[in-house]
Amino acid sequence: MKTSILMPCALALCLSFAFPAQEHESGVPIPPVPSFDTEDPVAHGTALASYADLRDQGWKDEVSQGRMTLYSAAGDSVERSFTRMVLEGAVDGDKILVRFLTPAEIKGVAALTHEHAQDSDDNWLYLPANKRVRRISGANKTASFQGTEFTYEDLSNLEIAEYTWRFLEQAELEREGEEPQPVYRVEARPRDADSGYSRIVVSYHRDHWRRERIEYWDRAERKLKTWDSSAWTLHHGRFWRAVSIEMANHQTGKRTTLDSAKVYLDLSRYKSSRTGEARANLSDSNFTTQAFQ
Amino acid sequence: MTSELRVARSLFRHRFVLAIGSLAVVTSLALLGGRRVADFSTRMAGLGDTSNGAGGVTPLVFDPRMDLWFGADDEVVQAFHQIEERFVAEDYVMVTFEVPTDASDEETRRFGVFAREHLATIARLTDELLTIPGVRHVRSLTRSPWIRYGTIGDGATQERGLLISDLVEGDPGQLSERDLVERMIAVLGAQRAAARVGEESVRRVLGPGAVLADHIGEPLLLGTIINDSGTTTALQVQVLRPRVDADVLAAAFEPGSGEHDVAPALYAVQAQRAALRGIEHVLRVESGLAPRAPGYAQLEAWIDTLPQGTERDAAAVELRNPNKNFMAGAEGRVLRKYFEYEPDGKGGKGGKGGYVDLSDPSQPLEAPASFRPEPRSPHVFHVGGTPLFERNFETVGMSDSKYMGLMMLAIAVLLALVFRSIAGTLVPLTIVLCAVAGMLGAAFLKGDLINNLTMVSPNMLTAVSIADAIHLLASWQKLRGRYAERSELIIEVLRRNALPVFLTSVTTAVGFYSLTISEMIPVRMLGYTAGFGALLAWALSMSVVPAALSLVPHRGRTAPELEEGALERGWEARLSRFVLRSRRGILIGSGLALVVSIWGLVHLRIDSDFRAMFPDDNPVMSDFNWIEARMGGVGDFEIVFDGVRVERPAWSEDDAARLARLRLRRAGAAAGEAEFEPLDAAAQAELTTLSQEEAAFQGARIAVSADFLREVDAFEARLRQEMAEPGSALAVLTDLTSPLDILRRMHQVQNDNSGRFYRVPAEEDVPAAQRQESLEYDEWTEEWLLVPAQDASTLAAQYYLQYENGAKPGENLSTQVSMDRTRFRMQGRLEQSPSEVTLDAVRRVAEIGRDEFPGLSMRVVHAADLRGTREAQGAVLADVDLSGKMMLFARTNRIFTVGFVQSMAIALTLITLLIGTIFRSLRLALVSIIPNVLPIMMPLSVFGLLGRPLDAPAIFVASVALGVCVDDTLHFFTKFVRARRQGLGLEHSFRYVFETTGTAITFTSVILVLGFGTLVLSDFSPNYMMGTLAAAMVALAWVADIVVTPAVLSLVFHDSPETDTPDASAPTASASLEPALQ
Repeated sequence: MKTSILMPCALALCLSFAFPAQEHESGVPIPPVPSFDTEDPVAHGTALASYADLRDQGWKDEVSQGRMTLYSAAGDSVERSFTRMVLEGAVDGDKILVRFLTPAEIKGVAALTHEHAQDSDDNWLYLPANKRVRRISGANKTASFQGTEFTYEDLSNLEIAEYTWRFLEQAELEREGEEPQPVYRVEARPRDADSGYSRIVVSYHRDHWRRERIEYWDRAERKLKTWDSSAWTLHHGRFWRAVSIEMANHQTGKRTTLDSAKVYLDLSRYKSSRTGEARANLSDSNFTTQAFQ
Repeated sequence: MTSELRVARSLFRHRFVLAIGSLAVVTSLALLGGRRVADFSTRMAGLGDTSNGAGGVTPLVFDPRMDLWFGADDEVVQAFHQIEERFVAEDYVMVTFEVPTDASDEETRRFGVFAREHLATIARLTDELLTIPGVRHVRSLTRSPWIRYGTIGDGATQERGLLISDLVEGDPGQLSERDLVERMIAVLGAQRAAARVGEESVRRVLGPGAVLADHIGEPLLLGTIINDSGTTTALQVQVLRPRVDADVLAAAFEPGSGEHDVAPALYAVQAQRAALRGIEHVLRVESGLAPRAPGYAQLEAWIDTLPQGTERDAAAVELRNPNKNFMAGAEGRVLRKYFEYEPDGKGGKGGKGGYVDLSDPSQPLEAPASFRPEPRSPHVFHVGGTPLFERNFETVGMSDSKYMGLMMLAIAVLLALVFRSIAGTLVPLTIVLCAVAGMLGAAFLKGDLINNLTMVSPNMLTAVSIADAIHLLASWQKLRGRYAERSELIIEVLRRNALPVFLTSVTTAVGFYSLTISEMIPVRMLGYTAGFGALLAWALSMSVVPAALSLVPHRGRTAPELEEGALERGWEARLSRFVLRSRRGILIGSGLALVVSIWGLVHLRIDSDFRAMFPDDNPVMSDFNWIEARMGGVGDFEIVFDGVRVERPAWSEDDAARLARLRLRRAGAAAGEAEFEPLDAAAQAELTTLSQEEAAFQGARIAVSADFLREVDAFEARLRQEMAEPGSALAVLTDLTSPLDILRRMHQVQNDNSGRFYRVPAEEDVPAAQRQESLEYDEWTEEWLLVPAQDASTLAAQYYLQYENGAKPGENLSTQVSMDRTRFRMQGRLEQSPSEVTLDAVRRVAEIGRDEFPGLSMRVVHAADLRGTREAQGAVLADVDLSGKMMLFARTNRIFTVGFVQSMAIALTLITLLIGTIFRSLRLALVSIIPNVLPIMMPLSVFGLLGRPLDAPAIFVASVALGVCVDDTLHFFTKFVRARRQGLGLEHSFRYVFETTGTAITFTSVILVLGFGTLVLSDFSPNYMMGTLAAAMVALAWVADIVVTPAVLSLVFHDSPETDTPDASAPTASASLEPALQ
């Protein structure tokens, strides 16, 4: 058992070698990796998840273009593209604005979300065809996001307090056409009875603290879905973003992929293509119901 | 030496080799077939665990697939499978209960199933049903989407908006009376709610000025999960027909093999069965009929000793899995989790009303006398749906296999009575059992499984194969005392019977093989399986009988000389004289019978009303009737609209992007934005081309086309109008749901919940300002955004999106609209009816579409289904497929009928030709038709005369009976021709025939009548009818051959033989004919 006490220290050492300088292009320092209590799997799991959460903070805002591809069990597919703007929430949750670009009949439809750490999120939807913004409530956590295999629950942040975490194992995540990735597998059981899942298992990259894979089990404890993130890119030498995300439903054979292009993190670090001047960061005023019509 | 004698000698010489050889073939077939079944079952278990956890692999010999009844290229089947592929593969199981209208508690009296106590029951059951592996979704009164316009948030952030939630969230016990009324209004509508709780209560919720008629309730739930009066409710459990992963399948079964094709469907059925077991377990727990067995506590304790981790979690899951009643605990010992009791069905008047334990058949069936159910709620649950129905077929089918044993017993007793010898009893039985084992072994070896039709093949084979042995044994019995040498006796038995037995076997096999031309796989299977069995039985009879008889002690010549004139007084002579004397009467009688039969056959109705096939007290059917009486039909009906009518031009994402850029450029230039260059001629041309291509592509996306939605809205209204008319063909259609309901609901909630807006959105709902495209620059993405002109089509598309944003995965739009929006699904519910009624409804739907909706082209309806055709006029928007399991079942009728007529015609022609060739006589061949056809027509015509529909599968018994009729006729003709060749007159020829073969024909007929007669005990009416019909046909065949055949022969043959001069040894009329004609 001695080794297990030494492990986190060794790990911390390794990590500090991997990232010798705490200074980054982004100017956002990497929080030091704490020493994990490996005796208690619950404490260990909670600490791992909390640290991974902490690690991905400070990016301020994000603008990207995305393309969702929905695949049926028979292999047919349809595409939808959209732009997505996110403002990182300092205290409460993030604010997200998604605007559809294709197919043509939903071009201009926009969805605004104010996430809340404690309360349920606020959602609004704008339909250009009747020029109305409607607040939508109770858009159930288990509801599908735009008919994809993702539910709102899947896309919202994994709030540490909403789950019971438990460390499972260290493993090598093997995926086709990819080097095996060293991961921690941590189980999360939702505390909320409204969740669509009995449990999920998150695989955190042991070096980069990215969520490489999330596996979902339904309430009957059968494996339901797997989320895989790949084609990671590092932004400003600090923040990892997956260019490609796939959610596969094992029970229905359907899947959805989410590909991002033109990802801008922290807008102030870019110059406007029109004016050539430094761009401003997004602010709360970009995420109001007036702004998104 | 005649060829017959040569064959007989040769058979005798090689009898042991032949007997051992044929027995060896049968044994290997049985063993190999058995191994194949075992192997198949093991591999099936590898696809996924669908067992009850008791361990071991149950042999899978029964194929319950519905597809089996249709050809793979059947259009309706294809449409059905396309629905599975494009939308979802699942079936509904309805769990229903009702509350008494005169309940003792006031809350139930006022609120019906909305009373808190009952909502709590529904919520509890919903949660538990959702834990069942294989259940995709449960729609119930507590867990249905409640979409409405109302106040969101509190305090400063309060705002009006769209509220989407379950009807009851959290603990129903916390709801106030006002909450209950609010939900009643939401579901039943204000007027129905007022009828229950009073208008005052309703107005307290809606406000004094509210127009009650504006609050229409939820059409998606009314009549589906709750009845209009709110006293009966259903939990609609959506049970998947799960897919098998292609890799897993390929690992278990070789791709391209028959098993590889069968396995996924069979697995899906097995998985559904497991889920049904889970549903029934949950309901038994609710009704207090499933107390925990001691094993449960032991398993719990064992799990507590396991270390935290995956294994422990898996064990805990296994313990809670309702589909499994057994589980391996400490040291791998399998323990039972629950006792699963059910009332023994003998309750009520006079019965003691005990309980039977269903969970472990190895234990005594009676529940302990001390057992008293402790229900959590007082309701009686009624469960219905297609999976239960399909399982019922198997349950009843399997229980019918017990009649095989009964039939064997009846035959053994009869054989013992007739032959009064051990050899006479055992030899035919052995042959029949071996033939059945060999036949089943061969079927399994071929990769076939048993289905509801081939289930009766052992009975059929027994019936037809026993005749061979009986004819041989009857001769043996008769000649036994007349030969000094055993070998002479046996050779004589073979000489007399080799040809007729061979001919009868061939014709029987022809009768069976004629079934293989049927479109229906089970009928084909029955044909080649039983046909092979008949040939096997022939081989066994001709080898095993002589071998066995040469082991029976021979008593030498013991028969006394025949008394002078004894035969003149014998029944054979009297019957011959009687037939000749009354031939005119017999012929007139037969003619009349023929006319009446034809009249009856013309009026024969064939039907596959499944309700009528089971007895009224069949538990599945009584639940089914209960549900249908309260909630309407539970049979599925699918109307699928397909916008992809012609090969569409390729339209890639690149094309779309190019078009978008050109449009943006045009709009930008028009707006005077400097960065956009006006379109030059080439760009303009490209824009035009691309726009046309896009329009062609978009035209197929009917679900987002206002033109189509308008058409289908009108179509639905038209169908509803006829559905409401009593006596109309569509009265059996109880419900129609489609994505239109979602569009209407979305439009309503977008317009302050007003019932007036519960309609499909139209052009006028789009504000004028939005009908033009608009251009804006998004400084955050630094891109121009051109929002296209909006219209009713884009509004509908955006409503779908809005719905999908809030719907649970189980309520997902993808089960109703294909992802690419080219296919649109409308679902109806059909009441169980006679198949013609079902088909009439289908036909009427097709007619309405064809005659009144030029935009719809009714595609998958066979030409025969529609009277007259009409060329499509104007622009067709969509092809329409009609499908569903109920319709498939109803259509089996036509397939059955056509298959029957075809196979009978072919068999009869072949057999007539065969007789003509063998006996080299056209007259004989034509005469044979009467005794072969009459016995089959008469019993069938009785159903027509009585106006009683005949169960479709039963009709195929006629092919078997034809085989038997022909057997009798052939035995008759062989002997008759032999006698004529010897120069005998008619009377003596008939006497000779009766003497040599009358006993055997009579024995066989009696045995067959009783053998088929055992099927009369069956609860499954097709089997019952099959038994009755077969028994009647065989009995009539006997009458026909003994009475009608001689009468007809006497008409066409003269009293003095026209061929051959009489043999020198021709018997005289006074002597026994027997020895002389050797």
